[in-house]
Amino acid sequence: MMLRQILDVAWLDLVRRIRNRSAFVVGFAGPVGLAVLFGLMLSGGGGGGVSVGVAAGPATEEFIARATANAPDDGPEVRYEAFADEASARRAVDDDEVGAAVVLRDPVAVDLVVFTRTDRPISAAVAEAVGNGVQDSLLGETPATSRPLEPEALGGRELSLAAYYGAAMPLLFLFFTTSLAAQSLLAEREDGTLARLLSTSISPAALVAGKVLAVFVLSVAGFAAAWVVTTVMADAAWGAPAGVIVLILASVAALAGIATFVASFASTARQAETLSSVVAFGLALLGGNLVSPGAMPDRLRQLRRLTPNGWALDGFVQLSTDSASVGSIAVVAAVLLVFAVGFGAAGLARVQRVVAP
Amino acid sequence: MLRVRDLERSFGDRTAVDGLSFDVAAGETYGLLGPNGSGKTTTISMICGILRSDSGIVELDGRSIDHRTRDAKRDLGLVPQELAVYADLTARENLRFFGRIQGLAGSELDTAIDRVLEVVALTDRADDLSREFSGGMQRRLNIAVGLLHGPKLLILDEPTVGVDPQSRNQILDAVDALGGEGLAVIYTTHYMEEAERLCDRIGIIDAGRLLAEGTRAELVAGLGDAARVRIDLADGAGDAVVSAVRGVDGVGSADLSGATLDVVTERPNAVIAPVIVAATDAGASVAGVAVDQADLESVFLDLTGRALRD
Repeated sequence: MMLRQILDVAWLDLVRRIRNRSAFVVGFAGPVGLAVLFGLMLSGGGGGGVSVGVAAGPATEEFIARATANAPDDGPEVRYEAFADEASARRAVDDDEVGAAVVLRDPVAVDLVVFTRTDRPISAAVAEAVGNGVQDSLLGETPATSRPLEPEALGGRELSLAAYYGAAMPLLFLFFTTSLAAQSLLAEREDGTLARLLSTSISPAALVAGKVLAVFVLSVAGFAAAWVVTTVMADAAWGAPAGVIVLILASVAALAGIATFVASFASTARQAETLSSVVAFGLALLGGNLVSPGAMPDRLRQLRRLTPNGWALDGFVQLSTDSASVGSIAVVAAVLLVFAVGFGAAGLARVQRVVAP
Repeated sequence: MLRVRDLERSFGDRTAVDGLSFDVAAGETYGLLGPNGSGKTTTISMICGILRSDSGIVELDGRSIDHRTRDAKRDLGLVPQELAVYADLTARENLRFFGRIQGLAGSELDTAIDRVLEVVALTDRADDLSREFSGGMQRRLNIAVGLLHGPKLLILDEPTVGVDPQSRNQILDAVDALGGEGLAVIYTTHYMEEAERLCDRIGIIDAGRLLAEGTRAELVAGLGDAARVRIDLADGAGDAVVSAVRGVDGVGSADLSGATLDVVTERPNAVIAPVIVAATDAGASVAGVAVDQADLESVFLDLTGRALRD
């Protein structure tokens, strides 16, 4: 009986949202439209700013000074970062802390290597140019022995911006969609239907579960639509489907948890909507939904790990660029589920107060 | 059927319901008559398990009901004061949803929907969106939802508030017919005429306390040979007039509502003249006087010193 009541409440919410078109706007048109638009607008380049790591042992500072001095006036502004050794430089590129890195392995043999990311093409080009310049200067007047630098790309495929924003925009909209559960309960309280429902045999828990189920279905459907549409229309490469499905479900759960928690502080549906919007844009800015992490200041970039959308985007980028399997995004999925359970439990406990006698 | 004992509920320092006890039998329509804010809605919210009581017992057919109750609530139908239906659904969709929530399904649900649509005279508008209904039709749909699952006890909380006279009559006719079907009904209202027309027994409630209870005849008989004298004042209505009239020998109680001074007395012929003199001396001018048989309004006035419509 309880399961049937949950399904009935969820069905009612979905029918009403389809009928008033909010399902279409928040669950489909918004995330899919913006995902495609961002993908097409930004499809000409990699994401973010230019940062290059340098590891050249004791000569690192001199290396950086020389690269800075030789930089062309009309080139992009480049931020150089010194690393102690090759391993730390490589790890920084891997973690997207810098867009690329130049490592001088052996100054005597002029053995240089450039590490790049396929999703940071400008940083890669700058690092390659810097590496070639240093190599030429170290070899002196004997360019005959010079050999073109072979960048070593970390990651197997190029990041598709259509895929990046294909995930980023639905993640942004997830916050609005998932907050609808709490908003719906508050609206029912204002409309008087909540009192009637609570006078029936339905339990408050079943009522809340029905509302949450409805927005879960709506959110997953919207995300899946963005996946399909950006793949078909913008040729986005999202990566392994099983991994994408896991990440979509985990992301929806995490954002639903936070959205329910945030909306639970409101006393009217309108307040919940406003509160959700503020937090959604805050998280979107921190998490990289609007500005890619490479373009963020260092401090802000570190805060990404405090946001579920930041974790989710990392997972989607990983899937998109590294041909990662479900197993390799397990950590991301686990972190998202921690967000879901932690905030979800607190949020549901607070929301229960709306329906508790 | 329904047994309520010593029900209490406070909100902070304010006592909303103060030791309320009453019974409602199967087939009986019980009226809770009291002014706005007297505790009627708080009382029925506790009976329905929507609101937690501070203390007291509510039993429906011997089964206890409180905020944790689930199954016993299937025997209970609530018609809230607000229009508790979904405006963006049709009447039939509203009924189907609430019917399923109450455990109905299949042909049983279809039959129940057709039955209640007929009871509230909405069969021909069943597939229209409820937001397209008039206020009266929405009120009738509100009642239909409460009746749908065949409850043993139906609670109607001021179901005619804001309704046009024609719809009001339709609602009253529908409610009037329910008692004959063996359904126990609690009907809250602050309209004396509705309570007199519909209710087998009436509980008069004020400030959360049940002041008197009985049939209309019993309640009015409690006033003895009292009659109600209504004096319309042209001007000068004020507290001074009420005080002056209350001091007249033979006046049981008096209260001013707008420009009408209500007086309950057992000797109307003897007190009319001195009451008019007292009112005039207090600065009022009298426009008209009428003497009526005592009614529930008189009972309320006698019990509380205030007019019901206050």
